[in-house]
Amino acid sequence: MPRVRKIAQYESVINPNQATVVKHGVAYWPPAAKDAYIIAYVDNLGKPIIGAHEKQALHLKEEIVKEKFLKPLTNLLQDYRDKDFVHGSIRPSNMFDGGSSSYDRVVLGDCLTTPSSYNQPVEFETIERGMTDPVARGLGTQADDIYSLGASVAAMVRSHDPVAGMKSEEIVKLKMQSGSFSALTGRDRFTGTILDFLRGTLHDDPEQRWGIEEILAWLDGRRLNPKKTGKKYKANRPLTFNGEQYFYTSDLAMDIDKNPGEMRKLVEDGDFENWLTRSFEKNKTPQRVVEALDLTREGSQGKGLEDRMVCNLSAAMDVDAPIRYLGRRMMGDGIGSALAEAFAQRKELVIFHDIFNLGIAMNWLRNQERSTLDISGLMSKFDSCRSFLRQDKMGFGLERCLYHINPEARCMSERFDNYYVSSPESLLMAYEDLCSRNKAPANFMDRHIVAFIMARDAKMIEPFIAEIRSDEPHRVIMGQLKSFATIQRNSQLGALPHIASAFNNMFGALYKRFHDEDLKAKIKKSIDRYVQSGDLAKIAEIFNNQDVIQKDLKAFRQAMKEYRELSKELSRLESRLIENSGFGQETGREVAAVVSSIIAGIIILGVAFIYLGKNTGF
Amino acid sequence: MAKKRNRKQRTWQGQLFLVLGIITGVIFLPSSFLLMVGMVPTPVAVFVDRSRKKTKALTVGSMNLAGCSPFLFDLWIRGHDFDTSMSIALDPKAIIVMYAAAGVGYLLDWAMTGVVSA
Repeated sequence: MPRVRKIAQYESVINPNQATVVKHGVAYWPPAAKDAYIIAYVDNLGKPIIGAHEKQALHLKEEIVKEKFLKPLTNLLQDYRDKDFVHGSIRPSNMFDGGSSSYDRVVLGDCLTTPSSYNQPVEFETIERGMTDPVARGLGTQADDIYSLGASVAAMVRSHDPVAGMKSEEIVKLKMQSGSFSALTGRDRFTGTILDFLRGTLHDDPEQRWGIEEILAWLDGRRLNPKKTGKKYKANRPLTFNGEQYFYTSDLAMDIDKNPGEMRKLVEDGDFENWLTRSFEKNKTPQRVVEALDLTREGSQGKGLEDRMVCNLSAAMDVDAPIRYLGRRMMGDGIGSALAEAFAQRKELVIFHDIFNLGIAMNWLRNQERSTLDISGLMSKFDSCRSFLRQDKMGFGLERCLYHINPEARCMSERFDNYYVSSPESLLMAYEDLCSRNKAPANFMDRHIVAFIMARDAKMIEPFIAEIRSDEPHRVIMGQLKSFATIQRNSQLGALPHIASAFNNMFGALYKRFHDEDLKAKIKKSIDRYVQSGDLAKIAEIFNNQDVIQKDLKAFRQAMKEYRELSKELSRLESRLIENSGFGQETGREVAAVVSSIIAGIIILGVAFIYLGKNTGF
Repeated sequence: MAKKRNRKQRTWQGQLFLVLGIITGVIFLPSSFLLMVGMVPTPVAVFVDRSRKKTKALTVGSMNLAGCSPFLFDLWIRGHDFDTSMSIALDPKAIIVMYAAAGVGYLLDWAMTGVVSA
């Protein structure tokens, strides 16, 4: 994962002794057969001072090192300090001769393509960063760069490599036991002022380590008194743990997770606390350990108690060390990179849940005393992550933690495995490409995508998040469309016809919402026109036109009312038909009335004729 | 309101018919008396007939009037006085004929209804 956000700072440093960036950006990378973030440097670096797999000992003269290496590189570090930039990859294999075998122009190589210190061998890292997983070393400080410079100079001037063939853990232990200066200089005996430089820059206490000003003064020829090594508290009697004897809490902290069960027994028997209080009564370690044990007891007493306990004890016993949990070693500001790696490589994620949920990260942070660490910033981030994990909805969870604590992280959705999605805009462009290859998904949003947009630019998705999380298909589609339309409009992206076309295939659920068939046909016609022009904002506007929706709804309600009345009339007539089982009876009666009237008329006329005939003589 | 207006209209019509009926009845009192006695089955039929058009009452009423007509003509020929009207009305044979004619009306209504609705 490249340090994309640091490129601008790097480029602002104008110095001939650093590799010059020609261009950077996302492009198709044929060897990996996918998109990647590519940083191109000017190809004038030359050969590395010492190859990565060569013996790390050059036996150069002090004057050459001072003139050809230290003067230009100290100036470069001064520039970095002014620009608040940390290189993180200072080592002989990343220093180049600039094409001249006499080291006339030493150039410091790449530091942007990986997380800070990712490729640094333990030998060139401070003890604490050396203990840490390479991906989780965090941003680092100028003091770490100066240490790396000191370790690189040690490799240049020494005649043999004292740590050759040693494992990383062995190198760290050697540094812890004898100090970095002794560990890296070995049996070489230096004379002259270079000794002061090495002692000053390889000091294991960052507060006591030389800074730029001191190196510059030394380069000017001033003799500086080497600072004393801080007293390391040693126990009067050792603690036997896992078959070994420990006199220092930092050594025990490093090995504590090798046998959590035995450590738990030592704690429960009281042996561990007795050893601490008797041996280290003058420093803060016993108090920190008591607090760590209290914190551990507050949590669950079931599965995972031992792992949690050794993690908290380790942080209390060695405050400068990384978080040590279930085999992982992470600095607080390196958790983001480690989490990104875990997501990218589909690794186990439970560790990260525990780190945030069980207060492991917070406990580590509480013990920190380094002034260079942004404790309040990290505390706020860890607190947010804890709250994100409390909710399982889209836009929360561990995915949101990743994008929240790691601003460099690309979108880790499986859909974008072949793309480098670093912003909501590049997300749309990746989708446009996917859709153009007929690989449009059935649903544009997943947990990663929602969390990614929320973390990168919340206003692009937050107003529509309720719709996106809805169970109703038409609301989900509308929420996604509105979010993408907002990104397209706010970022002034061009036409996105393939995304629009993919959306068009999903619009069935939205068309169903309209009742008037004529209106539906009219809307379809308009949508088809904007689909071709790839204008998501216009499409969203049409579907979201409240006037049209209200009119359609009103007309539908009116039609429903009419239908209800007609239905009532129909049922009334039908019931009347059923009730008047002899529907012809009415007609029969009418016929009877007519017939009887005719008969009565004839009778009356007949009678009238008879009576009138009798009396008138007809 | 609609109910009130309908009642008002009926009252007006009823009043008109009542006045005309009373005047006619007084002028032709013997005939009126004879018809009052002889046409008794008709108002009964009106009361009994629940249909909207009152067709059964019309059937029965028509035949009832036909049954009354010979005695009505007889009254008119014999001088149209109240005594003659009384004697006819008290004649059982006349009553039977008039009421039997109404019965024929009932018979006709039943027969025609059965025939048509079958």
